[in-house]
Amino acid sequence: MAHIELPAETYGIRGPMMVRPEVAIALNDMVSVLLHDSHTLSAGEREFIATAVSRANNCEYCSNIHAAIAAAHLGIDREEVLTDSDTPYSPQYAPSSDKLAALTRLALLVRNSGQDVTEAEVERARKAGASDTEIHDSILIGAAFCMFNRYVDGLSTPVPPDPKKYDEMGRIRAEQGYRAIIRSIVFIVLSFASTAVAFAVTGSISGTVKLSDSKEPAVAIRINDDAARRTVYTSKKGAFSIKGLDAGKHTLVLRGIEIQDTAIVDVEVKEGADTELEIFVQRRAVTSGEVVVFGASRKLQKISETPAAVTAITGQQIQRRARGNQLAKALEGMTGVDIVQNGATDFNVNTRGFNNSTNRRLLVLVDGRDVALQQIGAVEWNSFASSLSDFGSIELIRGPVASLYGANTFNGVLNLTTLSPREAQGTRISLLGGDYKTMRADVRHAGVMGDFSYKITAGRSQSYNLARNRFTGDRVADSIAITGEYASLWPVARESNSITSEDRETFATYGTLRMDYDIAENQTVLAEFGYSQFGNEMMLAGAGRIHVPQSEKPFARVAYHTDNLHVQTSFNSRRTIDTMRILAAPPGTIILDDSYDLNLDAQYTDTLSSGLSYVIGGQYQHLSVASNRTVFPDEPIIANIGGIYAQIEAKLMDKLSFVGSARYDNANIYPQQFSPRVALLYKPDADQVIRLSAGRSFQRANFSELYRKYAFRPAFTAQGAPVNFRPVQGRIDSALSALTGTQQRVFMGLYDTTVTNPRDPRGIQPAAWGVGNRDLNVEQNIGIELGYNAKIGSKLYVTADLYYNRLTNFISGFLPGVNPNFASWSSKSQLPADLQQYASVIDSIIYSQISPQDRARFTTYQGGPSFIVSNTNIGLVEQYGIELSATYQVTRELEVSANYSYFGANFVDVKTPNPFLPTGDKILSPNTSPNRINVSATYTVPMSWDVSAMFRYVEGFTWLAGDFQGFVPSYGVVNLNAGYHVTNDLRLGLAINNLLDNRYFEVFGGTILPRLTYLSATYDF
Amino acid sequence: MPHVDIPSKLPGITGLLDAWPEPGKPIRDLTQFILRGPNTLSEGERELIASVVCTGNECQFCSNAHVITAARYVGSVDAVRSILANPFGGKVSERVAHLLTIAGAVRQSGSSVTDEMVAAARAAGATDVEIHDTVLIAALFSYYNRYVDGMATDLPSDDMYYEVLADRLTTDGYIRKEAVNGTH
Repeated sequence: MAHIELPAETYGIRGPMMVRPEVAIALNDMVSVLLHDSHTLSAGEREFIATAVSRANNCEYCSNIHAAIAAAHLGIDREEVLTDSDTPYSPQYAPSSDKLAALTRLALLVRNSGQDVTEAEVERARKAGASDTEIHDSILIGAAFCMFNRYVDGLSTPVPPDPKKYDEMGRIRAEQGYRAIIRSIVFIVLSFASTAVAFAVTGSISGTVKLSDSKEPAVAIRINDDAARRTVYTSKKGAFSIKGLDAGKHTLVLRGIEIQDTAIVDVEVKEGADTELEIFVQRRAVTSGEVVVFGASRKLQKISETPAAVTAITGQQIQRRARGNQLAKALEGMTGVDIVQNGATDFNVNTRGFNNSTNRRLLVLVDGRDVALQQIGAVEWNSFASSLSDFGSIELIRGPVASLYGANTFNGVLNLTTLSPREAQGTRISLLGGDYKTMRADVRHAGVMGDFSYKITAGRSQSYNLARNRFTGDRVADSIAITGEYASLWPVARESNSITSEDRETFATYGTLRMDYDIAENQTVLAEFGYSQFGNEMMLAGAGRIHVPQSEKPFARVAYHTDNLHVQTSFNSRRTIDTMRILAAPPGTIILDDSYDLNLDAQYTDTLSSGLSYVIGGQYQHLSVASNRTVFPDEPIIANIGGIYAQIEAKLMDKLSFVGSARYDNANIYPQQFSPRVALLYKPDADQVIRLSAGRSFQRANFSELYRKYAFRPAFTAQGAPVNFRPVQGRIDSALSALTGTQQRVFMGLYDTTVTNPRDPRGIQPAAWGVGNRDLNVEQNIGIELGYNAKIGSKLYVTADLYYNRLTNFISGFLPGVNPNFASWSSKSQLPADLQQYASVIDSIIYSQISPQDRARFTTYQGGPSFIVSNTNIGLVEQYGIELSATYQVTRELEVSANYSYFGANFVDVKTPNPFLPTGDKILSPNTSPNRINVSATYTVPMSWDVSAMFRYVEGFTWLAGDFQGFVPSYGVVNLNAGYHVTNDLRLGLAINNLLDNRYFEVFGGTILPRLTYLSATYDF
Repeated sequence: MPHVDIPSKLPGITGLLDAWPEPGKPIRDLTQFILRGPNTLSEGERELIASVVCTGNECQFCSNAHVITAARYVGSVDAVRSILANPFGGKVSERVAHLLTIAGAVRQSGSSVTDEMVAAARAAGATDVEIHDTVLIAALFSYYNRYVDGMATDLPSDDMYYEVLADRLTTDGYIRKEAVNGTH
């Protein structure tokens, strides 16, 4: 029996630690430094020393538990460690056997008295290869265990009745480290003060949950009592109460978005009494490797242990970093993130090169739903049905991950997760206002009624678009006109349509309704519906800027989740309410959209043993894409895509794990694909991970690239006027007459005689079309990657990633003369037999009127001459890069971080079938900066105020996407963010983007970005 | 001379904590909490518990430091020594005397603490938390003494060092002030 009263069924040191939580924090911190944290001696070796000392001190609990931890680290049995520690001077399994023996000897000498450590003994250890630090640390471990052993035995703490318990605890400790104890058990102050409730036969647990750093209430924390099958949530004040519990021991598990998972074991419930707890939980570390992410393996795991490079942002950071109007802003400055802004809410987000103005090489998922505009595969950032404050986390998986996600994860995956009703409990109102008539209002309400919970969100966001009118014909409509744009753009993107100031009123109205029902513990079924109506954003596409006046995107999803099984079916739709138009296209060219997709995802994950786990899954996608025949001649286009995937994670050795995954895709719009990926993870110690991976990914052509037909820009003369073939027809007739000696009139079909509108170029030249290529293959990415992350001390976290990818079959933009289905036009087709001999002369007259670029697209289409651009697969490119990051927690409040990305590419073989077109990097560009640096500093006083400043430097680079070809000069931008808690419930925010108001643009053809200031207020009740 | 190079000029434990702050910080926090934190045992009583272990372990630096510190509370070094020699001599309460006995037992080994010792302490009014804290303090100094001697740390060149240290331990406690060049 223990000398003092201890919580029942706690063994060894765990009991007294619960009596004095402050002691637990210090002792676990200390033992973590001694035995678990990074060291030249492995954790297993240090645990062995601890075992030997504990054994010599006859401490049953300590020697068994540390033998079990050592055994788990070393991959052997506890008994083996115990036996070995009886003859500690020849440990059989130790990698550094002689040295370890000498160091163990030092620790054992300390056991009797420090004075027993003689210079001769120290010298002996030194000769065996021990460093001064190792000698010091062994003496320290010896001394420390003389403390731990005495603490445990001096109180006569109980030992587990079944020794197997040691093995179980040892495994957990080896895996999670000692600081997990601080997290998981000890932050509780058990107050056994009981309030008797006479009539009750059951008891209750109540109390408050607070954050350990700020002592502020932890709100909306899910508390589970697994055995009693009860779940409650903490209130605004962090309070909770679980009534009607059977007397006895209860274990509570606390989970929340911003806290570490915390288990409170052995809470005593007495009949008719209330057990009151004050629980301190740790904020989830957001800079270190402790952040838990889902996307890299499609299961939850620590970010430092994922088989891929991941950048993650928590809900709190999203709030802080995106105090402006834009979700994508939250990603800015993160390691390896390439984000460029075009319009007020138009961004494109990429990682690792080969960006595009309508980038689709990065899959964007919101709660597992692909939110891309299916016609072109790009993401409309102002079209989300969820408000900014409703996102709980963002994860960016950098590098190809087709082995789990299939098509379009060529560069990576961006995984956005919204809050569940339970996480979002209460009501939140957010308001925002700022420059460019920016206004946003969001309301969210979520509640819980027993097993049922719901969430309703609604919002409206609007701002004046940054995009300006570039029309300079005879109808300059906008007073700002093109003076705000940059001159070098002008010869390229000739816009024939103007935008009025009404067209610039960017807006989005959106809302969601979600209902969750907890069928049982860890078994939830949910349904969610969402709708957004949005418009007046200006998207930048290769064919020119696209104005989207008004569209809508409804969605619905139903999902079923257990701990292992996730099934979701979703319906997503996008429809234009008002027509979209390409500003560079002939007047009257419009685009409509009437598309939807149905998705079914199922996934199962399980752990077979401590070192072996797997994920299997399948996905079926049915897409229907239609445009009311505005851009697709044959529609609706139906695509059926099926994929199955599996991942296995196996611990090969003590420090080495293997993660292998593969996916097979079968679709009617591209050839079947097999995407394997393998990764090796080596953990030299608890704080470092080295990762080596290789895999294949693919990018399917989008519907526009495959099937589109749309009016393309006419041919222009060097003076900028449309080429006029009416006089040319006259010259052809004269030439033929002169050559033959008789009057000749042969109409070449170079213009449409029926067109009378003088603004329609088809009256003076052949029709110009952009036409998709149904024969396009998928783009391929085969890559290898080396990653490293380490926690250095308790304050510094660093990551380094190196990658090399071999990319083939890039789908080109719409280019002249690249699609073999369209042959060059010749007058031969129009000339009668007796004049065929003059075809080359006539051709030269015609071709001399048009630029080399237009000559290449002068082809035969539907029987007559046409200007046709199409696309093809081109190229073999090697790309390589380095991504480095460091985050340093200077003080509890101040965090500084910096990251650097280098990108390089080697254009091995990049040429089109058209010999007149440029080759190599003149036709295909990575559209990314070779060197980008981000530096930021954040000062946070939790629940009080915070301020952060970020400097972003992007070295100049060439942009080449369709019509937009030019140089994006280097830029450096300072962003400032600040927040102030007026009360716990009311927070004010200030965001200034481009503080110094530099004139710059991020994408060639995009808008010049001014300084933008936003003020926001968020109120919770 | 120390067994390995201690990158600090300070003697005894002060130099070790200064040179190896990573394991030092939590143990310093623990020491502050258990010897200076809110407690039903007075600071002087807790220093006596520390002194029992340090003197018993014959750790010169530690026993000097804590006996002199305890003397600040008890009155004189001689008074401290007489309490340590015979806890039941009436200079401290019976409760504290029993706790000092337990501390002495912990010094030898954890299992030397008998049920009888604990029952006697409890009978004299000691609470569970006091018994817990006594065991922990004794265990803590079992560690300090071994660490200090195991590393063969230097002794201060001048005995005045202990007086200055005692000043600091009785006023600032065990938490290190950044500006001050190291104490416990």
